[in-house]
Amino acid sequence: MTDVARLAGGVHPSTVSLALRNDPSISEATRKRVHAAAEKIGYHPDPLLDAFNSHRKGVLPHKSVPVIAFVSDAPSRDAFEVSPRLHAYWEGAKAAADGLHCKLELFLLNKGQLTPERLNSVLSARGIVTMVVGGLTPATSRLAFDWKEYSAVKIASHHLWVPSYSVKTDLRDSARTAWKCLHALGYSRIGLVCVPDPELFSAELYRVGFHQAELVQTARIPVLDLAEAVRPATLARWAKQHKVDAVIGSRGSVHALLEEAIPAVIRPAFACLDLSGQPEGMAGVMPDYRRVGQEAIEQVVSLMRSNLRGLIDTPSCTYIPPCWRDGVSAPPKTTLKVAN
Amino acid sequence: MYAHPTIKDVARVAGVHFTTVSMALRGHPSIPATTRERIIAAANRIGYQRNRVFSALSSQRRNRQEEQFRPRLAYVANRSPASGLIMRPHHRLLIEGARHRAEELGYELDVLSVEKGYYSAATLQAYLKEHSITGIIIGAFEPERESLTLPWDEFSIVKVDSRHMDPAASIVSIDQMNGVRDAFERLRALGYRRIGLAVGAKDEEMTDGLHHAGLLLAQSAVPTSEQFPPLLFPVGSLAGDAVPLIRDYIVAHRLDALLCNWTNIRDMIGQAGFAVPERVACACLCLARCSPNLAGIVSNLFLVGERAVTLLAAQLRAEQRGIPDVASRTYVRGNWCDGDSAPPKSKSVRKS
Repeated sequence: MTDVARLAGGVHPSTVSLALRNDPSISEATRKRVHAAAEKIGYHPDPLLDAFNSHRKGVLPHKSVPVIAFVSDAPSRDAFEVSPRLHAYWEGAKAAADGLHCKLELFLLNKGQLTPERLNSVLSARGIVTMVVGGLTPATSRLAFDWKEYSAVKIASHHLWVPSYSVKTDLRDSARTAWKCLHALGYSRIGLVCVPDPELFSAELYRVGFHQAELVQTARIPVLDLAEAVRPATLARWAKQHKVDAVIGSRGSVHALLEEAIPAVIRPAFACLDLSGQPEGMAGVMPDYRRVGQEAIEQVVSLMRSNLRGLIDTPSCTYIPPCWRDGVSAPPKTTLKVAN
Repeated sequence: MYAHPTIKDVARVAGVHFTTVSMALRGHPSIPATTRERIIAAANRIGYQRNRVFSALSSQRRNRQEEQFRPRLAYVANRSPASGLIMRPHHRLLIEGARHRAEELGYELDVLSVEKGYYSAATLQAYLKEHSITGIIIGAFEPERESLTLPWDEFSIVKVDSRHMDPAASIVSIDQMNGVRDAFERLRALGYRRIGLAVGAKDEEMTDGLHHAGLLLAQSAVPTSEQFPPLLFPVGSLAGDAVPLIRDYIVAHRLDALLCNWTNIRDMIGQAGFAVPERVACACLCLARCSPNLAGIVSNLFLVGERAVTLLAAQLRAEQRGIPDVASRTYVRGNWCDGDSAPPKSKSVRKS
């Protein structure tokens, strides 16, 4: 480190240390000079010492911690309380950041005040070089950041064309898991109903997972797509025609529709592909949004600590599998069979 | 009671000096067994855990005569250099990527084989212990070869492929789903309309159905009349078994292009009696590098190796050990490379 300090124009070794860790108290120009010097003479940080320091920081009080920007296009901070998905992303990210001794700060993009350009200059002025792009809606299709300056990981936001690391829930696995669990509960005529969801960019992976699970079955049930103008009669007709005994709904709203369309005695069982925010007792799969947030932070801190910045040539994506939850909306079928 | 119990808290509870605690927990011979047990019990009671990183660091300091100590990661494979671990581009690229990233992060990468005649589970465990290795990459284990069982709770683990075996750790793999989709879309853009997919049933099982998922995704954007079910080569098939299946498949659906994850696809289509690319074009889904006479997706195996180490380092940093509640799957995209097995489909070719 002393060698690096000398080569970087006679800075103090502690500056080298701070600069290599991308501490915001060191100016960007100095950081670059130090990184260049370190690379030139082949100085590598010692991961063991790094991990030890990271542990020690957790025990001792300390003054400056690196800040990670959590960039969202939610309309307000309240959205993080209202939307179970955003809430879980944030909670998971926060927990991981705390564990790694980083500070997580929320930045809300906003057409009037905080445009991407403005945010870019805010982050740059504050020396923040690490960010998690947290589940943007399809409305935000472009982020004018100076990407080469940042270590970044995306949460979901499939539509945002930024080749970077990303973390998302496994939609294909959600549909597959739902089908398999309903099948294990004794249902044999399982259908999929998709409704539009402004937050969900494409339901295509649901169909793929459903179809792949369904392959063991000889008789297939066509997927029912319910567009904006939802008619319960359509759902009732489809269920009757295909003798559906269990419905997988892309969203919880399908359940209400089902209750409206079909009387309780002959109503098919129901499982939801996203249980977050749904009432207790509904069966279905729970995507692990919390774990998504956590994973995004762990990955971005790893990039930050090794000073890997900028976009990548080859995107890679981490999928977090969901878990199944039983509920009264899909009881085991055996008892029903006896009644029939 | 103790947010972060330290060695001094343990000393207070056990009524000894803190250096005694340190020595007892390290199993130092000068501490009597009864005292050691009492101290361990006290440590367990208040929830004190030795920090492994700290232990490794201080043991490194204690043994300063061991020059140039660098922490290590283990890359374990069930093929040995003698049976082609380094010769085969698949494994070599994975290892090169893993090593590159490990060195960037300041680790050394030990490549260890558990093939017969190399490490057994017991000798491997001893080796890992001796070198204070707590991070392991299970490197593309091949199902028909040796497996491995270790006390997984003691290690941070990332698997490269190896879906068939325990532990249920996080996995890094090539992105076959988007590979099939990208290749399908490329062939469409080149003018092909009746595109089939042939994969080994075993490969499909090992990748959790990702090839088929990619096909379904790609097909969702084309007319139903141009959607064909995939052809699965039964488990254990060789090229000789596959050729007649390919012939029937092409004839049944009047295919003009075929995607396959086997690298000998061009030869197999030829043996089935169709001229490539005049009659049937083809693309391979897992090329090790661009090739002039075979179009397809080049797998970024080097990046898969890099990603595995990145994730492992993140786990080590967050002190996560053992099998996680939620095992993630990370997929690395491949890149399309043109080749003369799939040229742009011209009108004249279409007529013939």
